[in-house]
Amino acid sequence: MANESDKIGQKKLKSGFQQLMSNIGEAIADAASLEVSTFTGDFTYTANQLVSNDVDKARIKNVLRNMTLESATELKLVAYTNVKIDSDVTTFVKSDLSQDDNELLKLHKEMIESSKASRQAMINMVKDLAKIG
Amino acid sequence: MISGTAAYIVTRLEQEMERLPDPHNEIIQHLIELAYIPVQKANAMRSADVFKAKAQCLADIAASLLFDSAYLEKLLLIGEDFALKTLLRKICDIDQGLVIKTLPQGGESDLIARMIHYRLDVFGLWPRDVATPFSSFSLYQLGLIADFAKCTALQAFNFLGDVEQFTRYLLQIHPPEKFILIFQSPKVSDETKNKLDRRHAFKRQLIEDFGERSDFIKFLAHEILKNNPKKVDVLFLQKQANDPFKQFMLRLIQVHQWQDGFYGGLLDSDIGEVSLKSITDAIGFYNATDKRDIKTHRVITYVHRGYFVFNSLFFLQEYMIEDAGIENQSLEEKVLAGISTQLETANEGDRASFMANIDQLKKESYLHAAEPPQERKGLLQRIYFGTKRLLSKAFRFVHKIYGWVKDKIVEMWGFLKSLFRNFFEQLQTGIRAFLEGIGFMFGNKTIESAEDTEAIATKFSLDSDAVSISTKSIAAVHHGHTHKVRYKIRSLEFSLAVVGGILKMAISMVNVLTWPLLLFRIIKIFQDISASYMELSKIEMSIQ
Repeated sequence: MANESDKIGQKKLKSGFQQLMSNIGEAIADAASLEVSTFTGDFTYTANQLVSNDVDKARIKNVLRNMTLESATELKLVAYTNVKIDSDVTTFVKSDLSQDDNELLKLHKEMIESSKASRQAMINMVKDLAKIG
Repeated sequence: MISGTAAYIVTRLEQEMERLPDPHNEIIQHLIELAYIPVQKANAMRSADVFKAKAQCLADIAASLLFDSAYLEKLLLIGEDFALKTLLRKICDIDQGLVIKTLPQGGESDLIARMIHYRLDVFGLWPRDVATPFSSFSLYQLGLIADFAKCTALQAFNFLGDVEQFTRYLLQIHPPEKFILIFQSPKVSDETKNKLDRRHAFKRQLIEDFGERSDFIKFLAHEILKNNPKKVDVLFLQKQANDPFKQFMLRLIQVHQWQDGFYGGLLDSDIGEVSLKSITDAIGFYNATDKRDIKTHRVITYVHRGYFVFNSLFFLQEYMIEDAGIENQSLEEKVLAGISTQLETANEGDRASFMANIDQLKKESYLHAAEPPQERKGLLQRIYFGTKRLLSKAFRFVHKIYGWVKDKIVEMWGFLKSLFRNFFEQLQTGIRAFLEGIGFMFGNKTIESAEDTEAIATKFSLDSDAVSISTKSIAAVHHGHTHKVRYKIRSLEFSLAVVGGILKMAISMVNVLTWPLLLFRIIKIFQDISASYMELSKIEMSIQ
């Protein structure tokens, strides 16, 4: 940092932050609705997918990628929820729920709450940014 | 996706964070100080020892009721290491230390008992293991302090958590000559002895300051500070050097010097070469900052057979009491604002010098802390991490700090290293929160949980859409996964607030923002957001 000329650094900072704002703007433009999906599949994961450490019993590295790309298992949709900005909620749930599926449905509901909290944190940030000037 | 110059900002901040300190070693030091890790293990630390100690310490903190549970929860959301470091720093703080309302019962070995033994240990009054249960011996040792301060054992403990106030109190209740200390330091080099042998000048000054109003001063002037040192009353010197109150005062001064960053040796009550240098360094520091010319003989002189006479009254009053009467947060704010204002108006050359020296400070601030604390002679080589005194001093010199860094003023360098260590830590946590917030927004963060043959992965995208994929059965991982997701989302609130704060500042200052200014602004934003996030004013931290 000390080696970089102030003028170059200043210019990069200016355009960098402007671009970051624009990136955020573009990305949240599609925020009119919230979609939460829960899938399950009949597959196993192997020991080499685990990375042990001191804190957790096991941590899966890139589980999602491994599950979807490396496993040939067909994924089944357990539930899908769409929450529109005007609070209209549409939910699809798999028929003939087993006991395991019911547990997944519970998880699905909890993920809706977390998604809403995540969305709210984003909205708070954007609202705060809108106060500039 | 982040691209172009936006990615450049992220990359530069990542690089900046890598050069900043890891709080890990401070945590280890405090865990040793509180005996969650035995000091004997310091030089051969295993990660399993640290892991076990952290878990036990966190459990004791939660059980202690020293901190409000909502406060603990919010602190953990900023980051686990940040939380543990913050809590341990508060527990080990001795200038705005935690206050307790009752002493433990005999036999209790909880966190409060450890805190009591830790404070006694810092002041050289705990020869046993800090983890020992609270006992009549603990009370006896607290009683020694209580005798010096003419107070109860409980008040004595609380005094040890506010060294500045304690010192001021001792100076008020004891006659001035009690602070004329005599100590023996036989191993000090002849060069130091000769340099500090200023008996005549010291005597003149002593009479000027105290008059000959007490027998003690008269005796000192006539029988100790003599022309011919061989004729001094060595028995008197010996007796004075063994006076428990005066021995305690010497330890107190060593603690003061350690807190201020002048003394980097062991806390061992041994006023040797390193301690003597720290005293002359302090005099040099204040002479340079206050444009005064205090001579060392104003404070200390060598006498004979390794004995020194030390006017600790002058030393403590002049240099060690620095109460600005302002809360830490306001002090930090004023110090940072002073530096930021000067950075905004500085020319490019000065700014470059300032930043080059800041980089140097970064390296040197953590030279000791880069390695885990070491054990020597059965004692821990430790750093003082409390900030109140440093900030009070910094506030006093607020208009000079920028110049001291820019011009790399040698006499101030030790002080600057200690002061900036605190700012660097906040900068690191602020940058981490910013990067986590940005990472979450653009990195399509996946949260994963697995146990035996069960697994769940949940992926959030920037617009908060969520996709979960799991094995058919999730009974074993469901609860843990939900907890992990909630925790992540709640910590995201903090990270996004930091992201918002930084973006807002950057856009409003876009035409004047430079990298150095950005870094100082990040510290300020982190302080403001964490203060409002924690709602510090509402937190009651002394509910014992």
